[in-house]
Amino acid sequence: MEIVLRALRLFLPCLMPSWAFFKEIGPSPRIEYCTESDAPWQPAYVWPQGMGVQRHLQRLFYNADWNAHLFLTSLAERQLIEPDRDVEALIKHVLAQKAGRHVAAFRILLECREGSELRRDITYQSSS
Amino acid sequence: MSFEVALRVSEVLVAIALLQRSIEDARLGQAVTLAHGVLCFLLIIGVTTAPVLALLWLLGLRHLLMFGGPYNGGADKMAMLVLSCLLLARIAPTYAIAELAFAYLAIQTILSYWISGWVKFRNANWRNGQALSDVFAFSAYPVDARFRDFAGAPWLLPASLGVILFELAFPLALLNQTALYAALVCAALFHLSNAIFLGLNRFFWIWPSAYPAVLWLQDRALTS
Repeated sequence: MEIVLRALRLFLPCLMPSWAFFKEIGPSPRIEYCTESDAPWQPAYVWPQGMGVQRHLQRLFYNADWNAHLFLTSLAERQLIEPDRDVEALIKHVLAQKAGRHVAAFRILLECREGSELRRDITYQSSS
Repeated sequence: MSFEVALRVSEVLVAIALLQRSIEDARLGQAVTLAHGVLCFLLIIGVTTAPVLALLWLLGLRHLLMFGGPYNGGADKMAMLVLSCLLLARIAPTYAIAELAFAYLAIQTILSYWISGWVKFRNANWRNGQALSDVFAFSAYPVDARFRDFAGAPWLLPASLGVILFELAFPLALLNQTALYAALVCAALFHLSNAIFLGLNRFFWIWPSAYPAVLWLQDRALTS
């Protein structure tokens, strides 16, 4: 019964979407992780610099890494709104898959504009 | 566009979109990808359409449960919406209900543009170009670090206003067949630009799968 209710809760917004895309451009999460407690923090995603037209066209057909990055971003947003152990575990799992090794901890930074300047603040850190 | 033709075209397009998605999701499990691929192929060639749609719908529900929601936001939501409406259109006990299901898909597609335009129009930051500048400046979306340089560019304001105008005016295209074809081509190009600049490639594949419903609805409304 619980799974039916959960499925319904997840399915109904698909049947009646809000369509409010990009309603606000709020602070944007960035995830960093470390593989050991004293290891340096690494970004979960490193933006490519200067992709060519061919690469852009390829990504139209296959864009798995980028879509995984967007999924992680949505999980981070979810975790910031309402911290949840399962979501934290899922973020670690996705990061571990990406890194190919165990992830000790991750943190979420929020990047936003303040006046004409950009700022980035650590907003959340997972348990180790 | 007749109901049956529009339904078929929609089925083929959603199958292509889901095939593209399943290839990206291959890392989730080979068996699921293979099953998904086979079902999409069967849908494209039009074999046992209703059961195939039902199985694809169930796999879509599994996808939602696995990730606690849509993996790719609006694109996955749209995929479930399209699958739900096509499935209902195929299994409906009466032709009237089948038409209603397809019309619902068409209306939601039209709303997806209009509501999106309306929320932007109501936001001063969209009307003055600041929001689009912020998308490039610090949002997670620009696919290339060099696109961050677009923040503050003078063309962002006309681009912003152009998107708002297009989205708000979209429903008016239903008044004329040529205008609707032109609007749908513009919409597809809009999704293409989002795919290129923001990496939203799945939107480019899934949204057009609902366009036959819009074309059919216009035809139906104008001839009735």
